[in-house]
Amino acid sequence: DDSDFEQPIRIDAKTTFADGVKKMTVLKDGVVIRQGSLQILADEVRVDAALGEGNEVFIALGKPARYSQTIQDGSLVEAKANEIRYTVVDKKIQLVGSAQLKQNTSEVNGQTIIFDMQNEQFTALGGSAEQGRVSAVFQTKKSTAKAIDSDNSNKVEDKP
Amino acid sequence: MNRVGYAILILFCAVAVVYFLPFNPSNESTEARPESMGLLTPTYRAEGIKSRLYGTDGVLIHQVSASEMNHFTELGFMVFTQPEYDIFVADGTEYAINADSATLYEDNRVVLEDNIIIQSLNIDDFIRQINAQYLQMDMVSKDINSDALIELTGAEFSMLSNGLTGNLARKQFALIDHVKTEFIVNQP
Repeated sequence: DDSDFEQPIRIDAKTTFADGVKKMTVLKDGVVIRQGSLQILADEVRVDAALGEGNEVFIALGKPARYSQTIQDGSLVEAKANEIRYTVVDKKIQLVGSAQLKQNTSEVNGQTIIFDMQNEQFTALGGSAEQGRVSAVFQTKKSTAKAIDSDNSNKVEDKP
Repeated sequence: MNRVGYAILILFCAVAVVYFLPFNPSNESTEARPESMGLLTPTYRAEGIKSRLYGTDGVLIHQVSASEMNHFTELGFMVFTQPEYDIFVADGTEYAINADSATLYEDNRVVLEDNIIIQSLNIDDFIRQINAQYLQMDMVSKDINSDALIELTGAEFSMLSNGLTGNLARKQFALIDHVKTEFIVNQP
């Protein structure tokens, strides 16, 4: 929830390498990013600070990398992908590669999913390849599941 | 024997007294300092020193000032108290280095100890400061390494680890046994 973003971003890892010229930090081996209730688990995280203060991008790589956060209504949003990009300036995460986003019983899968953590909205994009489909299952509180299955040219937008 | 002879005889005796007296075994034990005392006593001591080192091209490489410097010639090192180094690297960056003490060896290696602060004077450098209690530096290559607790800080982050290897000129640092990294991101 919103208070998460006022907290410092703490990263635990076994090894760290800092490049002052490229303004890039690489953390490896059991990397955990924490910011309030937001948590990202990855094999490797690159922090790109080249765009200057307040514009850092945290790039988490894993098989898969995993994200979780408690949102405004107290429920837990979880996601996984080969790469999770957390852009601090707009409080979004971009899930790239076998991306999946879940909340309660709702779930969306696709090649790329962009989740706006502040407004709790997501955009799922299929991939360009033949199998680049987007599938989303929404469990509304009252009605039964509403399935959306679109081919790769479409995208699905909604609130989880 | 004439006067010249007496003069030569007297001269010979004077030389003998001056030359042989120090080797007289009976005097050896009182005058000679114990071997260890000699080594631990600085060859010379200087206070309020300032020293500058220029490259062959005339460019200032580093300068050091210290409240006191003790030079141990036989042991091959100098010990600086409250040293303040200014290091200048190729890309124009300047680092100010302070510590409680520094030991400079003949192979251009300096060992810094206690309250070490390495500060980049480049305002937009990513890594602005390094704090440590023990750190070695090669004054020529600017390689640094430590096996003690180290903190690297930048405008919006701090990194803590139990050791580091790196290079001030290349601005690259590998943190050994990383403890934690924290970003406090100021929204633009």
